[in-house]
Formats: sequence, structure tokens, C-alpha cells
Amino acid sequence: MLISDIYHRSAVTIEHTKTIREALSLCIKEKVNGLVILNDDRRVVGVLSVQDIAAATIPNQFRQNIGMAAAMYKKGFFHEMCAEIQDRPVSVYMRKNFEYVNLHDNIMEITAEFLKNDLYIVPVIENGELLGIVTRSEIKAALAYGMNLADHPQKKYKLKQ
Amino acid sequence: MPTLTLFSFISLAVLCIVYIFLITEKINKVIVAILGAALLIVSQVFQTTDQTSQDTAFGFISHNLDILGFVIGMMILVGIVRESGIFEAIAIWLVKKINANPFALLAVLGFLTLGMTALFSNIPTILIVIPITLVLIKQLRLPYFPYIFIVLVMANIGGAMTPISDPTTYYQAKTVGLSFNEVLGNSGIIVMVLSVVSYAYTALVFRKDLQTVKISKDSIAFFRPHSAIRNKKVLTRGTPILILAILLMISKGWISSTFGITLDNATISLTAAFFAMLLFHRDPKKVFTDLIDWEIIFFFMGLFIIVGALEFTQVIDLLSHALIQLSQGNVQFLTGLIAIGSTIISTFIDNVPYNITMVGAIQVMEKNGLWVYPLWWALNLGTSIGGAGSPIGAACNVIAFGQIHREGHHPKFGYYLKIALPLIVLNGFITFVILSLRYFS
Repeated sequence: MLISDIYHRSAVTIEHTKTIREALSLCIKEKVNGLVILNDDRRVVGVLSVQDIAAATIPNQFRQNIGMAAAMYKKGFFHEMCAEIQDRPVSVYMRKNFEYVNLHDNIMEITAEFLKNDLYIVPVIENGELLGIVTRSEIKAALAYGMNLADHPQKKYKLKQ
Repeated sequence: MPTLTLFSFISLAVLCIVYIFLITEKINKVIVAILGAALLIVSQVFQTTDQTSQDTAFGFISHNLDILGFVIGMMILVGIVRESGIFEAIAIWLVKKINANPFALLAVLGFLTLGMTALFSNIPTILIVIPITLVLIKQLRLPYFPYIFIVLVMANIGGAMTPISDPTTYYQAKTVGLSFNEVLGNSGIIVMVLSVVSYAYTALVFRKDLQTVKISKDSIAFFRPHSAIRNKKVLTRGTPILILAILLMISKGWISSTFGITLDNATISLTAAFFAMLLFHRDPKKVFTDLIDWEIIFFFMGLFIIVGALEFTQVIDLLSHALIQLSQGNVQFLTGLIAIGSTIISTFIDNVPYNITMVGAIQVMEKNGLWVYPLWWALNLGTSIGGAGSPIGAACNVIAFGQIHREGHHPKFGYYLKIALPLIVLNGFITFVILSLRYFS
């Protein structure tokens, strides 16, 4: 099974100069958990998922030592951190070294990438042009198809073998 | 006077090249040290009639296996006990106790660092205290520089406190034959004086910044020190093992004289470390990769050979004679020279090779009949004080600055020097005065 069989053809994108607040608002409005970030020339320069935004609200020290996060929480600190990052541009927190695939890559390769790098969203790029994305939903659909589940969600993408 | 040979010049040339690379930091220091050592061995510097160059060179490492074993054992032991979260819990508990006073917080972080460094050296201490300090700075909106500065100063001077506080202090104590109580009674007491001076200096220099800090009691009301405990089994069984190991290392002289049982630090710390691995089912492969800082171990091995070459080819004898001539045999002058000179030198260069070289030089002075006893403390304290003098003065500073930069704080090198240099010169001078009063009055 190749990427061309499973990918989602409409990616939600946002410009790199937009704020984190606007990015989160777009995620809520479009009911997605990941965005593709474009530069002024409409080329893909990064990806941003809700996890990346959430991670930005947590001090590095808490991420490395969960015991400290439990022991040193100050009242109202989460709100302070949200307020601190919300007006910063998405380019600060997006993943710049992002993985991308093209239509002829296969499903196992991308699944291995998801596992290795804890990915949420992988853009599908062909000759520099953004064609779509692969997220966990597409992998779930591909698994359902592989297991011949009766009403697998991939039906709507008209999977071909 | 010692006679120099071609090999003496090769040894000296290699030392100079190694120092140039260490100062410019263009290449990783371990690679520099090991390649320097390899170059000396290949150049046949160590060859004798009955031993190959490598065999003699490796002798300089094998004489120091106790130090390497001690360092490795403590890395594993402290690394495993750290998983319990006990150190973080103690630190957070202390922070909660100080009633939100910025000056008291400065004292708590400083003296906690000093105490932890005295017990298990400065790198593990920095890895525990700096993250807590950075979180406090962020949450309580504190000025970052005074708090980071006091932690670095205490982490460096704390290394001189006892033979188990720092690998170089242990190297010196072991090589010279200084007991735990001797080090504590000489360097240790002076370190305590210097720590009070350092706290007073920091509080005074940054009094305006600290006076404007308002810490609301509510902000630390949610702190729950016990939540930092992550592994109760390691806490209840690992901590006693660490305490027992430290107690054995402290009392090994007494045990030997009372019971006739000889114990050394490598045996104690490695046995405790491997026993902890057995008790907590730790995979040795993972422990070896995660908890042992091989960079430090190989750096030491390379330096033992490089400095060994200087000793073997009599360059150290020459250095020693030059120092005796310069001082005309006046030990008080030498004490001052080494205390203040070591302070300034270790501000800018790695203090490990310097310390090892000087230990050799002072030993030669002793062989020549000079009374060198105060010089050991001048050297030990001078190198430890100087470590805090610049952001690159010691390995623990480099680690701390890496974490500080990631938080978006970028203290200028020149600004750090401006604050640190007066303090370390003052500390070097106080060391000289105390040693003078004790040994020359």
C-alpha cells in the first residue's frame, strides 16, 4: 500500500507569521489536531500539532522530570504560560525538521517514521507542491482496510490496492 | 637540575598543543586528550629497556584506577538514587520553608549546592539544582543571574571540601596520602569561610535586584515536595546504600587503624553501585550508557598519560625547580603564588590537567626537602575557587550554561567575569591569609 492510496487530500495550512493563538483557533474551527505551515511563497516550512503547542506551555525541566512538575506547580502557572506563548508566531514552535513523504512512499515506511519520531502530521509533497497530509487517522484507516473491517473509515477515500 | 632530552621537548610540545585545543574549544577535549596521549606513546616517549612505550604509559593509568573506579561507582550510585526524586524533594521542601524571602532563597540554593557537592561532587549536583533553580526563576519571576551565580560558585568551591567532593581533590589526597579528616580540617574549613563570603558578596552585589523581588506566599503554597518522590523502593533502600557508602569512605582510615581492614573508595563505591543495580534490577548495559559519563573517564585517562610523560621526561622536575628558584625556597611566598595563581589559571583553563601537573611539581619539591604541606591546600582551594571564575572554568559551568541558554537567558561572558573575578580573587586572597595565619605565624 502506498501513500497515494491513503493520504488525505486537503491539508489545513497557516502562514508562518500567524500567532499560536490563531493556529489553535484554526485547529478548533477545522476540527484538526495538526497544521501545515507555509512561508510567504506558499512553500511548506514546518508542521505544528496541538502537542507542540501544549509542550510549549510546559517548562523543559518539567518535561524531563515529571516528579518536578508534580511537586513544583504554582497556582495559575498554566494560564501564565498560555498567555506567554499565545502571541508568538507559529514559526517559533513549529517543527522545522519535519518529515515529509511523496506519493510513491509505502505505508510501512511512514508508520515506522510515526513510531520513531512521535509524529502527528506528515505533509505529502511532490515536486515542492503540497498535495495533502498523512495523520494518525489515515494510518488507522489503512489498518482497518488491511484487516478488512466491514465499515472501515477509508471507504470515503476510495482505497485501491 | 634535571636534564631534558628530546622526549622532554616532545612531551612539552604535546602538552602545549593539547592546551591550545582545550582553550580554543575547537575540538572535543576528550578527543584532544586521548590523541595527545596516543601521540606520546607512538613517539616512544615512554620506552625503557624492559618495557614498551605503551606499557609504561598505561602504568600511569593503572596507578590511578582507584580514582577512576571511585568516579564511575559514584556516577552509578548517585544516578540510581536520583531516580527516587529524593534530592528534588529535599530542595523543594527547603524552598517552601524559607517563607518566600528572596535573600533566604539565595542562601538555600547556595548552601544546598555546597552540601550536595561536598557529598557527591558538582556535576550531579548541578544536574539536580540548576533545573529547580530555573523553574523557580520562571515561576516566581526572579532575576536569574544572582541565583545561577551563587549555585555555580558553591558548586565549584564545594569540590575542595573533602576527598569525595571532586575527582581532582581525591586525586590529590590519594596521590599525596592526605586523609579525609586532614582535607576536611584544612580545605573544608576554609571552604566554609569562603561560602559565607561568597553568599555575602552575591547578596551585596545584587541587593537592589533582590530587594525588588516580591514572592507571594500563595505562589509556593501549591508546592508539594513529597510529589517529587517517584520511586519509593529506591528511596527507602537506595538512599541508605548511598549514605553507607559515603560513611565508609569517610571512615576508611579509622576502620583500617582499628580493625586492620583496608578499604578504598573504588571498592566501596563500585560495590555499592553494583549492589544497587542488583537490588533494583537495573540492566547494566543501560546503566553504563545512561549513568556513566565516559567523557570524563577518558579525559582523565588521556591526561594521566600526558602529565605522566612530563613526569617521566623530567619536565615536571624542571617546573618544580623553577618554582623553588622563583620563591627562593620561601614556602609562604609559594603558598600565596599557588593559591592566587591557581585561582586565576583555572578561571580560564580546565583545572584537571593543571591540577595533576601541579601535584607532580609539588611532590618533586617535597622530595627536594621543601616543607610543602600548606601548598596542597593552596593548590586544592585555588583550583576549586577559580572554577567559578568564568563560564568555561569548569565542566559543571558548561553544563549549567547549556541549560540556562535553552531558557533564553544569555549572560555575556564579560559580564560574568566582571561579577566573578573580584569574588574569586578575594577568595584566593582569604585562602592565603588563613593558610598564612595557620602555618606561618
